Amino acid sequence: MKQLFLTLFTFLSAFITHAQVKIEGKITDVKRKAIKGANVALGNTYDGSTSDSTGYFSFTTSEKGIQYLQISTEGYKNNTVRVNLDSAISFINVSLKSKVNEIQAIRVSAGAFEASDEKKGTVLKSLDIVTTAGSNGDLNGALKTLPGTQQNNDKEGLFVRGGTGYETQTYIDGTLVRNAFLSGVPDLGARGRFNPFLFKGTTFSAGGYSALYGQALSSAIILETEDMPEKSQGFANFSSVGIGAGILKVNKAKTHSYSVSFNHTNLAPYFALMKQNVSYKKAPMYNQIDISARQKVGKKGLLKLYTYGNLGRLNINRKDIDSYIDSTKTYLYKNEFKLNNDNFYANISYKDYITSKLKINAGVCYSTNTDDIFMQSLTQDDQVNTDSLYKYKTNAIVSNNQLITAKVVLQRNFGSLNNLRFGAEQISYVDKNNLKTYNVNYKIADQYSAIFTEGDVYITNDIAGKVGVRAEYSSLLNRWNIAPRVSVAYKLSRRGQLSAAYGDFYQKPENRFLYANANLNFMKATHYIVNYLYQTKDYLLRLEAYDKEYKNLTKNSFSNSLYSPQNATNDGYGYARGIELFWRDKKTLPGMDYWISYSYIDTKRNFNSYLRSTQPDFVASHVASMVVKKFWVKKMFGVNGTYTFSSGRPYLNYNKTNPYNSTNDANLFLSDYTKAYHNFSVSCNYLKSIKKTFNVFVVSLNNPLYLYQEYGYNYSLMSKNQDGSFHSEPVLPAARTFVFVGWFMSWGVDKTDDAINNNL
Amino acid sequence: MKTIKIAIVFLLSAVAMQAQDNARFLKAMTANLAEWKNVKTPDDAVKITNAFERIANAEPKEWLPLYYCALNTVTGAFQTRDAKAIDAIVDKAEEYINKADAISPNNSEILTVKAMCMGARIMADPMTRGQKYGMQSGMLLETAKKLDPTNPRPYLYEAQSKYYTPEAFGGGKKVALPLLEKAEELFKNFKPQSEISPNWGVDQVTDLLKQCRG
Repeated sequence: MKQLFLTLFTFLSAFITHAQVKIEGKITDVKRKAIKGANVALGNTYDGSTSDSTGYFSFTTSEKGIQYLQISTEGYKNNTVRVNLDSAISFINVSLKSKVNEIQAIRVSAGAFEASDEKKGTVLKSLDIVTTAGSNGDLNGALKTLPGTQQNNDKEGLFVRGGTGYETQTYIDGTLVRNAFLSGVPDLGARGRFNPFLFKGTTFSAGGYSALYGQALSSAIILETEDMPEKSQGFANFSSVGIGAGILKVNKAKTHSYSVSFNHTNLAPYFALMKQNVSYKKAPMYNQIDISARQKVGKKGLLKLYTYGNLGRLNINRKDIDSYIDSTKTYLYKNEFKLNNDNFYANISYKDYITSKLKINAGVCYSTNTDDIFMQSLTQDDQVNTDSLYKYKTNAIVSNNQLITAKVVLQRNFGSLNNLRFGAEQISYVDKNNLKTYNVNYKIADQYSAIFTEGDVYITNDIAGKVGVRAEYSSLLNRWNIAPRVSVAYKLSRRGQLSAAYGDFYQKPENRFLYANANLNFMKATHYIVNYLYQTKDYLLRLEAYDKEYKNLTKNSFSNSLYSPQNATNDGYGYARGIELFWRDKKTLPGMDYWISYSYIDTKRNFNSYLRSTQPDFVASHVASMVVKKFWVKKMFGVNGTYTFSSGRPYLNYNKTNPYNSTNDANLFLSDYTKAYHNFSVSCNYLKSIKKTFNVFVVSLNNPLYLYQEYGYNYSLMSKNQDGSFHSEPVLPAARTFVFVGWFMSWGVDKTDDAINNNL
Repeated sequence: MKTIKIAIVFLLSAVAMQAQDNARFLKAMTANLAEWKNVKTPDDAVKITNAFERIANAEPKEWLPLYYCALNTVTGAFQTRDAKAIDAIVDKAEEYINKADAISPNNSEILTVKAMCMGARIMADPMTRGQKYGMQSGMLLETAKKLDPTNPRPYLYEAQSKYYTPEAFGGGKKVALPLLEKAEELFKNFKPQSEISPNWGVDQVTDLLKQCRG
């Protein structure tokens, strides 16, 4: 009986509440600053409390014995404190160690798959590109509103920080793109090939780019294609320059998708309406097909395929300044330039997690480009010019290049942020040039290999570094190089950071030098960059200063065989220094988003056929842009304006520097400057849903103010003015103004989508 | 006999302990839910979320405390003014709701909160994220509706997100109105599984209906 009673007593005693014990204390960080909102929990019970704004917490508990207080809060490492509830509890002071947190940590590189410079570079979204006035939907047109770029609309390529167009290369999904621009017509520039909507992001790095990329002395345009699309859709476009249509299908489980689109661009109707400075025997016409496919692999892997084919044709006739007669101010002849371009590009990329900490990114790419060029001199009534002096202008050239590249990058994560990337890249290419008129064939082939490694190191939440090294070998040059790349970022405050970068960048000389002489070395540029970035939700301020030292640039002679590439050496050298400002403001002007870029550059180089070290003819010392966008959400209507200014560019004046003369005064070489360049463009876009389609209407006007723009001067060695000087003409855009009108529409094709809509 | 008596006592105490645990859980949850209705400031919200989190850590088999932690956190994401902080807040909310999902899969209320997490992410960058997260959010809501056709909350959240979506993208008052009316009707007849099961939202429906109608 007693035993039973005792058992019952023990049983009942479990229900008796004990005396309450009070636990209190203070939570701070290692600097003794109070942490509010921390969760202080008595392990495995409900008891606990939240720290207030002074870090103080208190609560009572009826638990007994040894217990553990668990303290947790965002941004700090959890902490456990042992307490003995049977004895007196003293005031508990806890200091929490900060956790290097992925969101709060500053970024020297951001994102899991791209190892490039999202902070030093500026990221544009495809919507930004398409809606920037003056870009005409061309990626490079939009990049020209960012600091570091030049307004060289007469030349092919993007000119960055004193470098030539060749020094900036484009990469898609990690691999190098050989012909990123449509084949250019001399003095008329060229558009980029690829549709900006293909890419989920564009990173433009004006210098100091990652060790994962190479063979670009100045800068890298890093593009990453969209991953798995969200829904099936059909799309079509009608514009003043062409038509196109396509279809995109995604399966319900979103494990695979494919897309096919066709575009026909034809400038003939437009040129019939808008007079151009040049006459087109055949206005530029492009037939293009894009095919994409995506396949999910396993849980986290993705296989992407992108192929592109483009056939371009044009035939342009321009007055031949060599046939200019000053006394009558007429041109006897014109130059015909006929270009057929066939381009095919295919890229397969694969990304996946091999283990939870090891990621792989691999890509294989094939491209081939053929330019079939024919030039000759014609009389004004389109007959072949029989004048023997002009016979040398007849030229037929077929050039073809083929490229196969393969690249693999492995990334090993250590903790949540530190990581190490390493990989290798192989580029095999063949470049052939058949000068049909002279029956001369040039061919070069190169096997280029590179290995690289790079690591992101987060020392604290405030200091991060990126260290990498890249080694390259070219079989054609039979040389190798090693390039270190280092960058460091230091967080000054919640919104501001300072970073610095140093790196060596190598690039093979241009092909025209290699045809004649492959015994050349890599050209080299060393970059030193310092940058301050201040960013809030509404504002972004970026200030950057840089110094680039160029060595081993190609050098050949300025002789009467006119800049012949034979006997080139690597004796060229140069420097480029400058400061740049970028300010983006989405708040001050209500409903408006605007940005301002300003670049100042001081650069000189003595390379190729230059007679002295001087500012190159593709650089203007001051370049500024202002882009303004306003979008009325209620009306779904937007207006965009872009104003660009660039100071004069040097140009070669034959009257001061005569190519026939073996002794020229070097100080007069490139000593003339063009007039300053101003351009203003405006565009409007209107979004409307009509029944089941989503439509965007765009009207864009380039230079509606009809401002005079010149890019340089062309001189004739055959035509002399009445005063005996060589005749010259300014290099002008093909037309002062350009008007674009377009209608883009898309509609859902997925039946489940309709079903959902019907059920509402 | 003695052995049996002792056995019975132990058995009874085990049952009693269990009942006591359940009672303790219900009591704490009920108390917290009462506090939850009175939350006014973000600091209050943190206190309540922490209280739910303590219960969740002590009761690893219960999905409800995790559900309320996630709901509180994602509501904070909708209310924050700092677009850049949204992703971090939603990450935390998704941590909670994914744990709840593991405990109680195919749960209409849990899927509704998951859809809210997707929707909150759109606010960090509406132009770029609208389509992707909008679609994913919509699909989760459809599944939530199918799993429990009597649950008004998927309709409520869908109405809220349509209300704030521009008309050109398929949103606006006209689209939100029928969804709100459906939610209103379901609220009238809704019977929660227990007194601590989700039963919130009727006030939000009333407020939004006023905006839509007048």
